[in-house]
Amino acid sequence: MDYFEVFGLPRVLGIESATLERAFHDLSRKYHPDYFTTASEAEQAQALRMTALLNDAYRTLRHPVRRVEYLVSLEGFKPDGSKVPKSLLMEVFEINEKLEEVKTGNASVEEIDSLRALIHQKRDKFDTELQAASQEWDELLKSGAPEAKRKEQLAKLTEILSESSYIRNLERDLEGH
Amino acid sequence: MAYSDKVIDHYNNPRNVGALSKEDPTVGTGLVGAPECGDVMKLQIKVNEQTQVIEDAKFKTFGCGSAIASSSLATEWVKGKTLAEALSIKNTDIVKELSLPPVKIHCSVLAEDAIKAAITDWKKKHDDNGK
Repeated sequence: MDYFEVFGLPRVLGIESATLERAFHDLSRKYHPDYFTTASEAEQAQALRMTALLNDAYRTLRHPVRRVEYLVSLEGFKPDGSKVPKSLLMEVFEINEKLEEVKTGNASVEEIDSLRALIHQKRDKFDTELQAASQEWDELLKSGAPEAKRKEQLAKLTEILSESSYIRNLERDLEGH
Repeated sequence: MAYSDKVIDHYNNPRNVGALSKEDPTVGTGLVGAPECGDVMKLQIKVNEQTQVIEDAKFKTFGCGSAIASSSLATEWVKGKTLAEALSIKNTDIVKELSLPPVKIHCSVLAEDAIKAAITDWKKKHDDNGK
């Protein structure tokens, strides 16, 4: 059973967080080990397995980026470093060098601020792209588009994820500093 | 997860950290990244044009300990080798030397890719010059 199936959902990317949360609570109650204290050992074990699966599914699907990562891996797509444009790698490398100056205390407050602004601006750009591509995926799914079209869209989603992983890493680094 | 002693050694005392001039015609630069983790690695080689021997190598890696150790080891290994010899370095050799666990194998792949990218860059410079 995949994470979408746990929630009785098709493999859509546009999932309302309130709807998901409600379904999570309902299902949590349904599978709660407390309700199975008088059930057979096999049923108890099954309820426990479902609870664990449900928690994993919720943690993954409620996060818009992790949701896409999960979908593409479920569909057999993997991030591919060779497809990332060289110019982006160079830019990421340069930002990393600046970030290193921040970490060693060799950057002024202004420099840190402008670095943060730059990283956020790039992150926002990727978020917008990912959101648009996610919507396109849902529309393809709804309209019953042919497999070739869907595969093309999954490749596009994977590419955006690959590129944005560098920026997310930078952001984590900056905030962890 | 525990790092092996060799990884820790390379991490604490990385060999050949730094940069060579990208513009130098005898220098090849490889820049690669791993989208799984967001690591980026730059590896540069300075090659003797007559003998095709790699006389110097430098790296700079932004990533985890295993990525730093893999690239540090890669620069150590390519120095003194010919381009052909350097091309034969496999990521599995790095995995073995550093005892990398399965989840860190992609770091060694990155180092192998970086060596290959640097050599490709150097060769490209020389093809152009020959024309």
